[in-house]
Amino acid sequence: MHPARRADQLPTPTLLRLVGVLTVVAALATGFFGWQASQSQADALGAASTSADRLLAAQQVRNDLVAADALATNGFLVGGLEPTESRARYAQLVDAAAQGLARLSFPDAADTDRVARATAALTTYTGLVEQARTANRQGLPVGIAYLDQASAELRDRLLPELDALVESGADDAAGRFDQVADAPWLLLLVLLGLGVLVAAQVWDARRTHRVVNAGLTGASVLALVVLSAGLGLGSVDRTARDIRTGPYRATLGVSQAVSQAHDAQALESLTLIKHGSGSAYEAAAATAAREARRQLGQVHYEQHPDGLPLARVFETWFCPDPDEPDFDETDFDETWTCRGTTGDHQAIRGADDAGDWDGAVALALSQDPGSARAHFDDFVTAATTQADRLHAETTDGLASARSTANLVSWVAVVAGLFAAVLAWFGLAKRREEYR
Amino acid sequence: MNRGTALRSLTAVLTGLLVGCASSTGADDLRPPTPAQTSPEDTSTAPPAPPECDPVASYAPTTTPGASVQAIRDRGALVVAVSADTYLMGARNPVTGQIEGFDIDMANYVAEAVFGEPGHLQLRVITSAQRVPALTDHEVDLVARAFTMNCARWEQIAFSAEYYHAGQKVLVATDSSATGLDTLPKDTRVCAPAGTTTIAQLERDYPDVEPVPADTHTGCLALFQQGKVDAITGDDTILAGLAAQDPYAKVVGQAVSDEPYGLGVAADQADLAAYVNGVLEQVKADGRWAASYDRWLSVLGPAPAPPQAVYGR
Repeated sequence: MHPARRADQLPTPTLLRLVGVLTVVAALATGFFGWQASQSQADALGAASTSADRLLAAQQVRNDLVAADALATNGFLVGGLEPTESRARYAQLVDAAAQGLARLSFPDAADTDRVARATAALTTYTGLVEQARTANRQGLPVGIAYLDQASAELRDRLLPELDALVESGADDAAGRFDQVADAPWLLLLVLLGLGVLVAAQVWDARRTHRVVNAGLTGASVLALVVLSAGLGLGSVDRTARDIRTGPYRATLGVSQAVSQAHDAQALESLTLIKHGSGSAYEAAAATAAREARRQLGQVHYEQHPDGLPLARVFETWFCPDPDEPDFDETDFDETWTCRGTTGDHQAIRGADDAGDWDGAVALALSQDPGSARAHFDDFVTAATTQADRLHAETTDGLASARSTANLVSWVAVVAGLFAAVLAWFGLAKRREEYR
Repeated sequence: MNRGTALRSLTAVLTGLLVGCASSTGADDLRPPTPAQTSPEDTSTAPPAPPECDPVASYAPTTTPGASVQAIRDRGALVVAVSADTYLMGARNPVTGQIEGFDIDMANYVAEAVFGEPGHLQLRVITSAQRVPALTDHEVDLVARAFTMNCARWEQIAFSAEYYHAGQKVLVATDSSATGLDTLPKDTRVCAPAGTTTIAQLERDYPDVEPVPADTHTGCLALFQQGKVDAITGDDTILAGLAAQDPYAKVVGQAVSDEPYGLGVAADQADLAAYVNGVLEQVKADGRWAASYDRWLSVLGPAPAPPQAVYGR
């Protein structure tokens, strides 16, 4: 016998009971999948926030280290005796980097190994800087060789590990942001549950010749509520994407720009320390500075309107010279406004290249208002403040979106349970009519 | 939820579904990766085969200033290209900020002779690769930077008479029994600047030792102090600068090469070279040469007789 015909021949009360069970399951499934969709989105938002915090913590360690290196390197320009406040600030930054490294916690074993290698490299780096300082205080040029080794340790071993951690954190965060968008797929199952409830209603109307079953109608409305609430997840996804392309990327952009800028400053000092042999360091300094400015330009154009003033502040310190042999016109897009002016860095290089080494060092070390150092410090202060604000904006935005997703999940659970109760009693009333 | 909002939400969900299909990476957010740092490169290269000549022969000395010397006097300063990181020859004293050393003394003697008083010397720090171009481009009057006289360079520039006779030696730990490059124990790790002919020469002439490159000679000293190399080879003047920084290092053996140092002069300023030779004659004769040697290079042993000048160009 054909199964459809066999079901057709069942007594109506039995059929009503079977359909009742089916609608209860459909209503519960509606609530469950609504809950599941919003919970997985809330979880993804939470994980994205954690990943962003983690990668920014790694980026902060990098920033502290390059800032410390710039200070240590600058100390060699001063002469044998490094200023006390400069040493204290160096110690503070290295301490912050060491603590930051110790607090870094990555779920991936390869990343944990990277943290371990970075920690070992930091110990070697600080040891070499101390050796360099000791020799420098005695007036021995071998101090510069130790500083070279420290620089190589930092740039060849330590920073690449941190860059890999930042990259890994960014990949993880990107995956989490993608998951936020994936979650609404589950709403298709909610739609299926709603379909079952509507089909049951149609079947009931044909079988019992009653147009409306109040219970089933109520259950369908509640399933629709779940679906509508679920559609709210789309706005959560949109919010998450706005946060990602807005404050999140801007935070990364500004933070990376600060890092590159510190690197450029340290390399500027190394160029001067190496006297006539520092041209390779200057090439690296210019590359890092251009990258910093490019990041800041991106922040303005694509991500955050506050980025541009920061770029302008940076341009007072570094403005690329189109006459330089390694100048790349594509780096000098329409966001640059300093064309034709000379940044502090170029002024220092100009003095050194013209044979006025003492003048160049004086320019590099001056802390007077309007000096290179003052402009650079202004930039770092402004950028750090902005990066902190953008990070808070990212975290708050993701937390708010997560609250919305959580609310949707509870609405789905409650609506699903009520829908199940209404569907059961709606068909139970029909069954009673057959007694 | 009104119809418009519902539609927007549905669109957002569908967009989300579509976006969700394409996975992204952290690079999308970080933008391009950090540019790779370039490391300083050694610019020294092997010189071409030298033409035949007498590399130490310079112009007959004179005390009569010519047109070049007059031009320097008119300018008010003698501009000399020097090193600022070759300890004892030309290096900046980190405490005083002054560049000082044996080469700098020679430049000072010439400046004092030109102007009759101190205070007219202007130093310009250059790399070893910039020594010849600095003269051919007339950026400086003299080059005083451990400048070995050879016939290939005479093709482009001129030299003063020889003012120091350097030679390649080896630096070892004070407790080493080695007496030269040829008596180093087998597998001794010997450091020399990367990219120089010294590394190739070590491999060719001393196959039993292990050559180890570093960026500079000072870089070699750091490796020596860290126990990563056992010896350093180079000109005895440079090794003297290294030994002076480390009480546990000594320079040993006879020189295995001849490195006559002269002051570089532009090829079209033979009158300046002759005038400098006149100054050097006096400096060698009146004891200033020996005083400078004692001040800077005594770590190499007692002052030898100054190199005998050869003329005939």
